Amino acid sequence: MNKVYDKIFKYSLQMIVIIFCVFPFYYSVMTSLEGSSAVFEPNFFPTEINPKNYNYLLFEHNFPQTILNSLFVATVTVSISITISYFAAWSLSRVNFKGRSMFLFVILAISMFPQIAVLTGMYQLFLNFKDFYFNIFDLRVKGVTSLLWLCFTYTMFNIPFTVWVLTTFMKGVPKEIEEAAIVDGASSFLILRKIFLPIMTPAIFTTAIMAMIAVWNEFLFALTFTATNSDRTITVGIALINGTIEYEVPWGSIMAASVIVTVPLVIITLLLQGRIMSGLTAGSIKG
Amino acid sequence: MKSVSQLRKRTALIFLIPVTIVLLSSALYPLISTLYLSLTDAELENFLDPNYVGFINYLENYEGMWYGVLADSLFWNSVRNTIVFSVFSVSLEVILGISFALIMLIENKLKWFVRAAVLIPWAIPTIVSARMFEWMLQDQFGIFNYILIGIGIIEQGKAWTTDPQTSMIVIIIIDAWKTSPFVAILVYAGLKALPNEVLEAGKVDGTNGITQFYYIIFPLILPAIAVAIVFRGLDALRVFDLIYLINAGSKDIMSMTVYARREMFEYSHFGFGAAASTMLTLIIGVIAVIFIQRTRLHKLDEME
Repeated sequence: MNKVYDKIFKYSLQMIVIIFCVFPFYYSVMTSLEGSSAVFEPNFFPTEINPKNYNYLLFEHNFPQTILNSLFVATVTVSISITISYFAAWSLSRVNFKGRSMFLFVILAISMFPQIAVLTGMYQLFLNFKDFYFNIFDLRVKGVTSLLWLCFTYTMFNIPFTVWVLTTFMKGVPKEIEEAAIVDGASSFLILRKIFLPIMTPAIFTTAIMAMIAVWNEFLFALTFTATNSDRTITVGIALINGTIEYEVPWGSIMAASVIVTVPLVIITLLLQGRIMSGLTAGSIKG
Repeated sequence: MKSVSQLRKRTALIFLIPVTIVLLSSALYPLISTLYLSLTDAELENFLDPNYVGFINYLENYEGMWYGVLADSLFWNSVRNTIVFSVFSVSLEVILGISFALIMLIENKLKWFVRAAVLIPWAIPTIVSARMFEWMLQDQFGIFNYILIGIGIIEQGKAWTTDPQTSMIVIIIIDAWKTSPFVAILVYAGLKALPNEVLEAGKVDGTNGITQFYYIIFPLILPAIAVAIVFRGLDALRVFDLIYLINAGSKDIMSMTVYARREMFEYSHFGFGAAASTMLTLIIGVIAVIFIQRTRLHKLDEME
């Protein structure tokens, strides 16, 4: 009998965790699927399925543009930071040189930096960058200015993280694998390309996904450096969804937008569960 | 062999150049220029060419009255809010995180689902979690009030997010919801790294679970918990999104980052805002150094 209770107890603990974590997401999916009147009747299960909110967002609102902007910024940022960090990670994990610990410490310190600490300076740089950019390029492409600027600032905030995680992963590669190639006289560049790249691909992929999620979710810089409808990213986009009438909050559309930006993340996270967990721990514990 | 290792060292340094350039240009330069701007009268009109004014943005005595960030009660209010938020949210996250991690250890059919569920709040953008909770806690149509009214605890829906008495609690809960999974994963990894015998030991002795956890397991996972506290604590001290989104204007919940940003971008007091963010950096810097020294995070590199 005791065993049965034990089992039930364990299952209920697990159910509590699952409901706690999933319910808010479930509830927003449900709200997003309801039409305007059903939204305003609290319930646990959808009473109707109505694509109205999604139609509005995808066809009458500039929301698709914000998704494209976020994708653009995320892709550029992640490609640059991963490439740069991959080489740095090799230096920091496989080669002994003076000041290596110091370098890693500075990286860690920067990753803990409050973004606001650089915001004023960043904004001044941004205005200079805009001037410079407008003088060189045709004004027609000026919509891209803010997005390019976001790529730059995000790269800065991603690099400490990607360097740190990739360094950790690379430390885990056995020494012997590299030694053989060194004896053969292979250059470091060749070693990184031919030996480490195949082994590191899963780790690089995991790190890239996590960096991408961080960019996708960023708010402070996006809010500060984007000003028009055409250059907003998704976080600012959602924050600015308002009703046509003041004080009437369009909860259905807001929830639909939330679901659209969240579902891909949830799917990726579920598929890569184990990898992301090891990435998160590599980012902080193992060093 | 020596020449090979020297060559490797040289290559290593070359590979570090791009990272160094990015960090210098995008972290160090703006940091220094923020510091400088905090000593100027920068406003919107003269932002690109401000005048040096000394420390008056920090503190100034003008005709017997004190001015500046340090004399602004709203700033100290935001410092207090930030500390209250950080202490309570991180404590709650550590408690929830450890509980979740222990539940994640249970081996049965639901195991996969627990591990999957725990990652969902982590992946969801803060803006989305803020809006989700705002909607659930909404006074007229929110499910939370609906349940409470149903059970009979309250008679009328309450505006949890805008009521100054509850808004801070709401923010702490949303933050805990979003980030206790992160703590849980760190602690879970710490637990997984323990030898199996440790986890089994208590069971054989027949000691009850709580005693066993407190005396045997807890001391062993303390390093993992310390790391989680450092990361979460420093993150909480710079909180922006959640507070800005739930109620940016309210002085009851305004954090230091919200305060500094508001001075800059709503009032265009760039010099003053820069002074406020410099203060925030100083406060976080001091706490970070203490944290890192205490937890020996800086020794991580030597633990190979």
